[in-house]
Amino acid sequence: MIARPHFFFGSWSSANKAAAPGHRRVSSDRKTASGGVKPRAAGAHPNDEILTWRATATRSKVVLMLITAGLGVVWVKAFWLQHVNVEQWQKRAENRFERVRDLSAARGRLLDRNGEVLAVSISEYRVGLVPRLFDPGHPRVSDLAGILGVSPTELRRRAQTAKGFFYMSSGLDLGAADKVRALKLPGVELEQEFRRYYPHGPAFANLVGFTDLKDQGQEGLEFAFNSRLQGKPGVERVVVDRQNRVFDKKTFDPASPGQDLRLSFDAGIQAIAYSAAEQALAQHQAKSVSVVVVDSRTGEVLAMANAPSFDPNQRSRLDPNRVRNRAATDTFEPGSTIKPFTIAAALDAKVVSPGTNFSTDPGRLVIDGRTIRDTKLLGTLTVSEILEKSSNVGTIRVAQKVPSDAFYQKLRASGFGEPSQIRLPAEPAGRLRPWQSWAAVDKAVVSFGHGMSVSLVQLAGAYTVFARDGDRVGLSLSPVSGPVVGQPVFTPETARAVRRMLERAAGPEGTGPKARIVGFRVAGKTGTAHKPEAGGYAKARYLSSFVGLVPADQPRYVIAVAVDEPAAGRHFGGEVAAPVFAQVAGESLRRMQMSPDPTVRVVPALMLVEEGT
Amino acid sequence: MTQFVNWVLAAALLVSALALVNSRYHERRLFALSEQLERQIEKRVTEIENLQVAIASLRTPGRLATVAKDTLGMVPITHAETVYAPKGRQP
Repeated sequence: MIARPHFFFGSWSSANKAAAPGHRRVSSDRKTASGGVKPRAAGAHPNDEILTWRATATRSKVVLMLITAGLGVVWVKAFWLQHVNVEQWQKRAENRFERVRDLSAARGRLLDRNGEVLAVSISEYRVGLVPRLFDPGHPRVSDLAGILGVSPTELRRRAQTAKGFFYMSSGLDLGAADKVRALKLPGVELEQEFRRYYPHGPAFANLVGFTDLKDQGQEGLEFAFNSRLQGKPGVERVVVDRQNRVFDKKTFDPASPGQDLRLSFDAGIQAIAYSAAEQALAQHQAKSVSVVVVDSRTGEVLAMANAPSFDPNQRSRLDPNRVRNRAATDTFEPGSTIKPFTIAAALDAKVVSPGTNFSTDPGRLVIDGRTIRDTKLLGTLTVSEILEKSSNVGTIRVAQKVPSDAFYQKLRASGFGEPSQIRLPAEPAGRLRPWQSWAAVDKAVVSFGHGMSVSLVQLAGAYTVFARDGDRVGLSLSPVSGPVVGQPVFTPETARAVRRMLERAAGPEGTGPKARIVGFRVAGKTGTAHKPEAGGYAKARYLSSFVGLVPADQPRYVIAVAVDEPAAGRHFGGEVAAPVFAQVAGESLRRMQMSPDPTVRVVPALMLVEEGT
Repeated sequence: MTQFVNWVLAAALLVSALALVNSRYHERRLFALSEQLERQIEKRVTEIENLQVAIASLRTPGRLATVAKDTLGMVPITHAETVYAPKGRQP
């Protein structure tokens, strides 16, 4: 290879001489000077010219061949590159000029039924430092420290001690990120991230739940609907030039953001329910208060509030007692709120009528060695009065007339003993032993809501049976349009009869007069249960509840309230839970601008409220 | 004649080569511009979203109730204050 240029050199000079003798001197001088071929033609002779020409003719042929051979080599190499080893070379070129950029996908929003935002991902930035490229002595480092809110010394110290890439700070908003970008400091990188924000704060906190740092749902609805809310991150291949400037996009796999999820909840009613729960919590020094509001026509859950709650936007300390959505996850012995189902089962089985008399004397009953008492002596009561006065003894006597299997089937059909269809995490089935394993005392205690357990959501769902004409609609967390046909549980006559009894129970002679609200007819049932503890029931720990329907003449809402361990003196459902019901029901109906008088429609200042809104 | 055609073709080749270079240049320039604009759109969209979130958190029922009660001195309407209008007639 080294010899080749030398050879070319010589042959070129010879040809030159032959073609232009006038230049001979100059050329030969040049050749001599450059140490080339010794001028064979010095002292020129015509024969020499021919000889030279002959000699060079052979050489030219050789040169031509070599050039052709060279071209052939180039051609072979080109063929090799373009057709034989194509993939490898393409890959190498791509590696040099292509970059893969990740495109982040936002998590979907959670919306209430009217489109109010309950949870949203906010785009933020975090700042990372590459210590290898970062110059702590750069004059603009203190500006960076100012934007990030750290001291320049701290920033320099961390940059110098860090071994590799690290995140300096996160949660920067758009403006701050722009400022950081404008500093153009080498080794400072900005990365987009998403933070979940909950505008409604504690009111929705334990229902909606929250996400972890990886944007995955951890609790509540965020967990239950994680797969739908979650987006799919995309990838983009870009071609960059030497200064890392993008000048072309190659393949493009766009990020698909998560779907928004519209829920059945009404932020207004939820706020009403939450504030009522909070007030009751403080007033009764209770362990917890839960409220569930269901639209009985569709089964939509409008509100599910629990107090105490937490601020989902400030989650440095999470107390598991506040995070739990008690209305859905906690079960309790429902107590007297089960009595309407016992009465309805008896009416449906046609073993009693609302006017059938039962003696509750002597105010207590001993079954299998266990004594069951009424709170006071009530004498002889009709079935209707048994519910109104909430007599345990009377209810047991009614239940004893109903075949166990029929009673059990009615309870199951009402939704007890199985998880409701809503897909909340950790939803329990509740406890309801099959009738085959019932002893006489088991049936007796179940008839007034002991020896079984329910969640508040289950209880609210079951009461839709009485709000409707005996059929039960499945609860839904998504908006439902139009009237829904439910599964029949009781006959319409039975449902209407029990509804009338429930209205009396919430009346002046019943156990829940404090559930009444001005202008509307209310039907509902109180419940007060001793809390079970190891080996029996606690003496002074109660769970007070109230489940009611408003307006009783044309039920629209089922509202269930549970107050866990009220400790401020009063503990009866009628005194503790019923006022919470009244507050939630009154404010919700007002919010819906429902007419207090069923015969007249209210005309608010600007809009006409249509029938059934 | 053939030579003339060759010259014309050579010139055309040269011109088209230059045009190719020029169009490649503009392609890259416009691409950079569109990237920049896309980033601006993204930024504005984010800003809009952030403002919408701010509005959403300002109009939560809890906050409105507090403001109505404490700042504006409003009270909830009662049954007695309900105004009825005869059916079919607007007030």
